[in-house]
Amino acid sequence: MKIGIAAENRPLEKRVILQPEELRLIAKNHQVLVEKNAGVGVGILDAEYEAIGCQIAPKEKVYAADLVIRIKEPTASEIKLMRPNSILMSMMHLRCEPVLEKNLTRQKIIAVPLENIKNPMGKRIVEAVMESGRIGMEYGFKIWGKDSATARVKVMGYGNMSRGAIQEAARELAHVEVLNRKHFQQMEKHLPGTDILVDAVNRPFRRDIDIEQPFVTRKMLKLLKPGSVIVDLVSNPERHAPVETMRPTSLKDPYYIVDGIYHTSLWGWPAMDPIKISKRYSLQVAPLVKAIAARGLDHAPESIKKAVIRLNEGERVV
Amino acid sequence: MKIGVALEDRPLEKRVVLEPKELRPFTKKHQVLVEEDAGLGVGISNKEYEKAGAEVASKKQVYACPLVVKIKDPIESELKLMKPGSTVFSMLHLRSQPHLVAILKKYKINAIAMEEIRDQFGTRTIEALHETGYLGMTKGFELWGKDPSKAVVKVMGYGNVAQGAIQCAARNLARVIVLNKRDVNELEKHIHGTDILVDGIYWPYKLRGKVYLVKRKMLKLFKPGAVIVDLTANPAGKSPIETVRPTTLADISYKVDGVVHTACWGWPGLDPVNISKRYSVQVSSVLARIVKKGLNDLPDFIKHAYFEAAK
Repeated sequence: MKIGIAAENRPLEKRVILQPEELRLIAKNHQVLVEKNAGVGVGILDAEYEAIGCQIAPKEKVYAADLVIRIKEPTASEIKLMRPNSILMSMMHLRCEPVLEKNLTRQKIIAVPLENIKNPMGKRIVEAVMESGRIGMEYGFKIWGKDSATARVKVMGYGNMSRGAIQEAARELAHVEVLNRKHFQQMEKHLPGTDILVDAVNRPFRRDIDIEQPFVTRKMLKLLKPGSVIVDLVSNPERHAPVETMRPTSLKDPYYIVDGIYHTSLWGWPAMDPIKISKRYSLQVAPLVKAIAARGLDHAPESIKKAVIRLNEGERVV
Repeated sequence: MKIGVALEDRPLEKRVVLEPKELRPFTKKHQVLVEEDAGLGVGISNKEYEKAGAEVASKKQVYACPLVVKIKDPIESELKLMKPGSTVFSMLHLRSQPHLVAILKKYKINAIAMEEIRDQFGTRTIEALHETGYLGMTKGFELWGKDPSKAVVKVMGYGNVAQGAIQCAARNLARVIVLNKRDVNELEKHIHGTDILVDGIYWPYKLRGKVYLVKRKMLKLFKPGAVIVDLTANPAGKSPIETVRPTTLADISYKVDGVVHTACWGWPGLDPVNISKRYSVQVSSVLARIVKKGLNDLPDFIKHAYFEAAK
């Protein structure tokens, strides 16, 4: 099987999905094409990939492989470089990105969304969910700019994402309160006195509703002290966040200010810690790639098979 | 290899370490003995084990196997039934239970500690840490007895166990405040107004029995009927709360100065069905690696959890 390791090419994105150490065994048995400079962002030279038997190749060749692997979803123009019926492994979050689904379907791609691969306990195998919470919280303290031990932090939600934020805030000796479903409906009571508000509410996703009622409306922003921060860990490009004034930001421009309140909502928080997260993903992804390459998608382990969406055969995301 | 799956033989304990579905692949290549009625507590009959290819056997036969698998650490009467040089694969928590080290040595039984088995990220692969916190918190609400959404819950610590308690409390609409390292050193400021105090701190060995964060005289700062849930108390070490001692499923709480204390040694025992399934999935994948090449050629991540007493 011909495997293509694509470079992450969003502005300021430094990560790479597979590192030479984890690729070594795979490269022994399969032809592995690595996009030029894919690893440079985390200090891995093309020569290091070549040394373990990979070929360095231009984008067109990498995307023409049987199995294309990267962290973030490819862009529309990159998808056009892929061959019909080839396999794409990357984060996709298709339910939040109908345009991506359309593009992949048009190109007849077999999608293996990394976020859908679960172990027998139902836990994601390739993930940095708690890390996202930690990284988002760290960044929240940074733009708040004062002594984190004096901060009053309120965290909306109590899943894995918020765990990372709670842990980081408590480690930084901030005052941490966790807000529950009852509190979401009465945010006007909970905003006064909050220095950093963290949104980690995983709202059930509904494609049939255009705009959901936000928990924090624009009007409520004046209840926060000027200079306060809202960190959004879960907002996404297509849908509206529980905070009305929130929109996803990028690494190049991670925050903006509305009515004196800092808003930050990176679409892909893990990108802020490229070295740690790259290694983590590399360790998590390598065994999956090895299994697919060795046995083909049809004979891959159950965890992978369950994640596959055959967009090439007309399967749709619900 | 002959593998023995032992019954969890403690009062009110209903769990079983391996269920028929996960056990079946082993019975093809190995002789598997399951102790009589091992699965009854979670509704699995002896017949179901037999259908999976295992033999149902007496306690004596099971413990005579060279490899015995169970959840809770073995007690002396069980080790006595084992052959010197054989191996038990269970939770051990040896640092919290020095007496267990002594009896393992006495009967020359090797042991593989489930809690020491870790993946490449250092995360435990056989664990119910989040569930421990969740179950402890649930018990805390039950003992408190009022509407959970009216409770003020303060959680000491923010690790995996504590996060389970936080999730449970927030889902029950309680007010949840997380106490950090500074806060736990000035608890006299934070106890006031707390309905349920949860200890989810991994208390360092060197401080156990020497330093207390909640001293007995501080109990009067609680409202009468308030609850202390200790998620990490253990038989040997001392909790950071002076008046906490580990309790059992059969006798799970007690009162000191009007404050309810609960500190179950083995919280996951409260949810036998889900926890058994969880452990069964987790344990079977490690067991597969143990029996693959035998006890003399264990992979590194298992060797790391191996306590050799037979030599």
